[in-house]
Amino acid sequence: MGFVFSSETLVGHAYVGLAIVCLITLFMILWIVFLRIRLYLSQQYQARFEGIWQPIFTEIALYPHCYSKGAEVPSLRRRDFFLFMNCWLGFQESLSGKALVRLNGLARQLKLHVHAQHLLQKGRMRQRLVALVFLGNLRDRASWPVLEKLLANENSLLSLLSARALIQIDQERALPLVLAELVRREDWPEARVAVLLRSVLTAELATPPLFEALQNSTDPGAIKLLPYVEHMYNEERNRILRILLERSRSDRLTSRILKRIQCSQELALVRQYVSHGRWHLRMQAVAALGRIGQRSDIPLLLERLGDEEWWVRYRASQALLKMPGMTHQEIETIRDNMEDSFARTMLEQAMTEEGGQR
Amino acid sequence: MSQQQIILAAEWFFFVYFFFLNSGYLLLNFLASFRLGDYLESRDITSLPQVYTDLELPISILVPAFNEALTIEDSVRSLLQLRYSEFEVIVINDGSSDDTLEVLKQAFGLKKIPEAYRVRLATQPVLAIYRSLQYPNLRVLDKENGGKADSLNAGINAARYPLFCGVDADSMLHPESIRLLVRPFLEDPRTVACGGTVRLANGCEIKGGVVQRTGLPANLLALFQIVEYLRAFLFGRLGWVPLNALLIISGAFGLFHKETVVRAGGYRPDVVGEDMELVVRLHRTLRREGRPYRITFVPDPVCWTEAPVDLATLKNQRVRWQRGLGESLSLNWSLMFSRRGGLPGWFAFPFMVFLEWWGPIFEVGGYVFMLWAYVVGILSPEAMIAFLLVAIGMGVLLSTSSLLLEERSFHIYPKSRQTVLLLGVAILENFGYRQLMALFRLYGLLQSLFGAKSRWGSMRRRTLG
Repeated sequence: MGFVFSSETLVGHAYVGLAIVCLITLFMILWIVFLRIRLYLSQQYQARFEGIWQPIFTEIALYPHCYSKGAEVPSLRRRDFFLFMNCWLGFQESLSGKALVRLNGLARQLKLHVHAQHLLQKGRMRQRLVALVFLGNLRDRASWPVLEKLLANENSLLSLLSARALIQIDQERALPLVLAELVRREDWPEARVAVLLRSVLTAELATPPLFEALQNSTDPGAIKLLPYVEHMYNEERNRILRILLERSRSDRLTSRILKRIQCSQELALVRQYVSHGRWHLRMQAVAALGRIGQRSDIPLLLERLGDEEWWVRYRASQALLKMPGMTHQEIETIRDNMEDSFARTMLEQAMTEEGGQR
Repeated sequence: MSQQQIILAAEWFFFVYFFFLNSGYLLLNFLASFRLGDYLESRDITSLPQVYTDLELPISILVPAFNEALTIEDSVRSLLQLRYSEFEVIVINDGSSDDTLEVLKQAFGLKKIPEAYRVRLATQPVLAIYRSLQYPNLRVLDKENGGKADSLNAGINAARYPLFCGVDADSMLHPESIRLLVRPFLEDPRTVACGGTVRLANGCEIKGGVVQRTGLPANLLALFQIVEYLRAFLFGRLGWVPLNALLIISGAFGLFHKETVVRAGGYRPDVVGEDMELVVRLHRTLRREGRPYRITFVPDPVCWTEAPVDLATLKNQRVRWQRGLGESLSLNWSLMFSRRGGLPGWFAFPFMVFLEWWGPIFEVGGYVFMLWAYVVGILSPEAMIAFLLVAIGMGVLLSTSSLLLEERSFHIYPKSRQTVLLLGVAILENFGYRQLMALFRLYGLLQSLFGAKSRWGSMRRRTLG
């Protein structure tokens, strides 16, 4: 028998395929070499650039007497604007107060705010985002209308950064806008919003807009806003929590309100949830009793030590230890008199944990 | 059918298989390249000053340990130094016969606590629970031996936080690893699992359980594996992410939503590749329930582990991986082409079955067939050479593309001569190493089909898939 495949078209195709594979591989290798060279050059260029500008930033920010206003600064080429903005942002992070103001002055002197405004509207996504951070840090009031428009942008990162920039520029004016957007949107990650607002919220600033927003919100909206009630004045905070607890139709909302109850005025309301059908409401209720409960609540807590849900038993045992005037001896007596061995172990665990924390 | 027709059919079969295999890999490469571009852009942005913020989802880190007396103290100390706002470390001593527990007691001042243990997943009995007096976020579970999966299940039972992360006791985590891995959970609440990239620490400078400086090993086997890991993680995993069809999350480091895992039944203690089996099962159960979910992957190098440097250990590892792959797929067979299977059921699962699980049969079969045909004189030398060159050329192409992805992204190996060395290894591995791995995998496949059932008398390591 002769070679079956010797003159088959497949062999020809294989060589064509091989040639293509070799070409692509070669192209990739060249690409790797190109990337390596580009990386090397850009690192060198960046190092030189930072070598020029970092000392200027330091002098302007920290030693202003060495650098008088209007002094000559090196000229900045248009292609370096973006690099400068990144460099400036990195340096600015470590500053506050007058140093920050002076550094902002340098950016304005170089007309970078104009460039950033342009990038904000016409740039690629990354450029727009850097411009947003830049203008926010620069407290650029002229950008307010564009930022307000971007706040409603469907891209969540753009809208979140706009929210931050608005807050940086004018907290009081921005807060109602941001809270309304927070209620409206589903795509803002809770943790990011929390950090964004936590850095600027003060009781004086936060209390009126939050109270109003919570009062007018639906249950889902209230769920989003609840984490921020910690920033309100105590009196308004307790008042709005009471209003929400009384009107809540959502277990999720009720659970979150119970988690935040700190005032004994709400004791009667809390007790209603200790035997609720949903375990997470029972858990939050017994935890709330641990914060505001009285000795008359001990029987309620003992009952919950035998709850079918582990977390309820756990929180009930912790709450029991926190009851006013509860002594170690008394808790030991309670433990020794328990018939439910599992509840006893749970109480022992809570006692050990509390001992460890002490 | 004549002999010639049979040979022709076989030729076409191997040709079609080869075509699909490489098309699949190239497609994954293409998808990974786009995904990596997006990821790098978002990473650049989130790493800008003030944009990325501390995120607050607390995490339980589970460390199963079996006879790790020599290394466990360093491992736990490096975990306790992770940069993350709130986390607990739970070491599960899986009935070690050495001094693992004693070492832990001495090093961390452990005190036995009467914790009310909540059994949601059945495990071997837990004998005692200890808490560290020095580190309030460290607990140790001492349990009877049941294997890694059983230990992880015990850890899940004891975990107090909504996300848990299974870590091999001999893995080294990057200090920012948890922060990187938790991001997908914060950005998309549908996320139920997220895997991290595992890199090889051979040749790196390590201090206090942390990789201080990257380097390349002198050992050729380890070098081959470095290129292999680049391929496996940079496009083998990342390419599936845009399709939400990632079927493997390395057991060495992955973050999971606890309730979802508990609902799915936790880890199966009776399989070798419990990490992959869990992920495939999550796809199957969540798709069946019609729940929206996302299983994703972070390409940043977050976890380092040591590769085997001798053939015997390497062979055992690959045999185990292949068996694990087979078990994971066969136990979740109903996902394949199921009505609600989506891309995992209609694309990723068949890909894994035909090209990864059964792949070694066709791969080794292809080589054997060609050699046989050449020896008996029905295949010309030109055709034989063409076949080999194309196979090798495709291998080089795929490895080079991984190096390119690496070069575009993380620059783990900063020196130019390291890149040149890796390029050389990417070519060299196609002359023997890959064929040898195919043989090991075939052995694993045959062992799982005809060999003894896997036994889990002791802890297994490095289920890196």
